[in-house]
Amino acid sequence: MKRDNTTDNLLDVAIIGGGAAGLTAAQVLGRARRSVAVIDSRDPRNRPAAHMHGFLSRDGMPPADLVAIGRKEALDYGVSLIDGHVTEITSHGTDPGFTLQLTTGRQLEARAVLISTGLRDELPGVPGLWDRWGVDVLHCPFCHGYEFRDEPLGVLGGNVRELSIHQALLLPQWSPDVVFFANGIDLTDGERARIRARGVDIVEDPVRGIVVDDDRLRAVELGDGQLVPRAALFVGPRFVANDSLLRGFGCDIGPNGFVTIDSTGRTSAPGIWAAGNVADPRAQVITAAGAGSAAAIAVNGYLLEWDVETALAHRDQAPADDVFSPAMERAVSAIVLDAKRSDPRSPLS
Amino acid sequence: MPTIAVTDTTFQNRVLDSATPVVVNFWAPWCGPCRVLAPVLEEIADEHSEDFTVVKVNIDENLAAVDAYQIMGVPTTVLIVDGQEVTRVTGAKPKSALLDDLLKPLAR
Repeated sequence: MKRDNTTDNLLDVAIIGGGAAGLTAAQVLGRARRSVAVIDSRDPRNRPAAHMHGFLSRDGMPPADLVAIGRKEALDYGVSLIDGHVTEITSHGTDPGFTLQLTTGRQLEARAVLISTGLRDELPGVPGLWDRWGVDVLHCPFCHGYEFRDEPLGVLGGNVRELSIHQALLLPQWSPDVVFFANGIDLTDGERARIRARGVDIVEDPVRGIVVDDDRLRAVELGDGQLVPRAALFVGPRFVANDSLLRGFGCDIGPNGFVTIDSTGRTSAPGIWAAGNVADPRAQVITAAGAGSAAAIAVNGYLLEWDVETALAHRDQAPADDVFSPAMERAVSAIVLDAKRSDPRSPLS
Repeated sequence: MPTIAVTDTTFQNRVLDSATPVVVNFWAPWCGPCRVLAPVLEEIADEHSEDFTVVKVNIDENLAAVDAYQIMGVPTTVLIVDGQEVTRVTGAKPKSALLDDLLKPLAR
């Protein structure tokens, strides 16, 4: 039976977050003829980035185009797309299934939920970084380093020292000219030696800001007014998962501060899955898409088990209106036998 | 005498082979502090034309000089005497402070 996806009837799966993970899951489940809605706030993490990389056959594609195509594909498979925020997920008490409360006041009922709400980046408090974020102030050298190969690169110390030091060690893979602006990170002698051994200059003077001219990052401004010319600046953000729904529902959180999931994205709460950056800060676009696919198939398996149990229970109840039920078989046999006994020439004999 | 623009090509002749001391200012067109420092350098060039020349190197166009002097930031101002670096001042400073820092070794 095909449900009407445009009404608020019970959905098989509600997908919260329509990025690479959520839209991939939507396509897989739509093609599996599940009733699916994607609720999306239309505020992707990678909005500032003009191009994405590392996605086979989609190299250089604007991330917004990937989402636009993914949304159309989902629609074509009967998935509902809903703009909005989900504020709360509640369970149906002892019954499986969930109620989703949207900011619009609307409620959705779903048998299972996939949360793919991503994460947000927290940058250090150096003025001007957000204006250049995703352009020439960047965090992911695997995503954007190649475009700045052999250019003067900077690494700006961020809120997570391990990440910043890792970036300082990593960036010489893309350029021989790398300066590490410690920006308040107090380096040990060992760390300093490791970074210098990679040919990276270390600047421990305070960083006052960045200099942008003609829509290009030009330099990092030090406290003494000196400008250090750089074509791109890599910053290790603090990754903050958009996981209030998962936490609100009581899903287990791991030691890394992200929700605990298995390899299919299953959380500790039965019926709730998580995929992409909301559960995995390291996920790139293609990784998130893969996680969405894996989660979709696992969610479908969960629903299938539910479907089988429901069908079994249905069969055991032996409803009287089922022409092939045991009860109906008994009733028909009795009628036939009665007829034979009372009239041997009956057509039923 | 105004400041003179020096390039990678003219650096040897104008700076390293100069008979008089040379103050070399490394700058960039996008550098605000360099613009602040520019009139100060012109004044210094005028007032000290008998002691030294003042030249300017655009770091965006003269990578060999930037590399040779390991210029990490701009503005950076270097005093070169007989082809050798004597002092180096980073950042934009008021005229008196810049002169003090640059000429300290010569004053002795």
